[in-house]
Amino acid sequence: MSIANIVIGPVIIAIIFGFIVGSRVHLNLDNSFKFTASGILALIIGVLIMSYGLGQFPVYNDLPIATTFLGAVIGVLIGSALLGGRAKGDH
Amino acid sequence: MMAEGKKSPNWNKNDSSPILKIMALPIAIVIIALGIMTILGGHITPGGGFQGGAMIAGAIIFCVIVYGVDGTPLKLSHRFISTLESIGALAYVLIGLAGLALTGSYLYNVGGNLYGQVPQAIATLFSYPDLTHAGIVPYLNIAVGLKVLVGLSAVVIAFSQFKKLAEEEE
Repeated sequence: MSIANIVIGPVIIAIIFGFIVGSRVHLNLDNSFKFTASGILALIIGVLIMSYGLGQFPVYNDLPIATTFLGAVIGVLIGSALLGGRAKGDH
Repeated sequence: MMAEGKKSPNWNKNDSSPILKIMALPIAIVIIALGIMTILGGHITPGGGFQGGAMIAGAIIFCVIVYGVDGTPLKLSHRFISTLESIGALAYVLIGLAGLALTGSYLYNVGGNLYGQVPQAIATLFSYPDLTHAGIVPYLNIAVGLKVLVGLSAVVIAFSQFKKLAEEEE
């Protein structure tokens, strides 16, 4: 269990996948969760606790947190911050 | 026609409680991340493309139910759905055709190359950057995950709009 064993490939793919889905998330709706600095901080703290609970999933010899899960959350947040406000849904 | 006394869920109205409206989007983001993790761990753990895609679609359906189909923050446009569906199907077929072209067997695991039928340079090209050397299986999981996430979401988005269409026709 060390940082030397971390496999960067799945994390990068998780960030790209999260970016694709996150590009459709609108963060600034009036009736929804407010993504202010404190809101995002609360979300990140919750996600860190959850990834520690998940453990070394799915690769069992790297860090004691789920790196793929963290990468996906980071991808969703980056995708929604960069493209989410401008994505136009037509349904 | 609906039976007398029965009410269908009105997904076009936005009358959920404030607690649901505040908590649904962060929970949906966490469920999306769990789905992506399930897709990417599908070759070594329980789960895979279909299960992970269904989890992501579940997050989208959750938002449609809580916020209504018009006010949902997770909006999938028609173009986005058709693009992801096409990319998923094309990637699956093309990865399978690579095996057919190189070895004569459709969906031969070119990256894993268990039977040594492919030159090592080509096997390295298709190899997944992981300790398990699973070959093309994770890529197939990703393609199936893309297809399932937009396919299941599209079904629910279409169902949720039928009532609105019926009301417009009246």
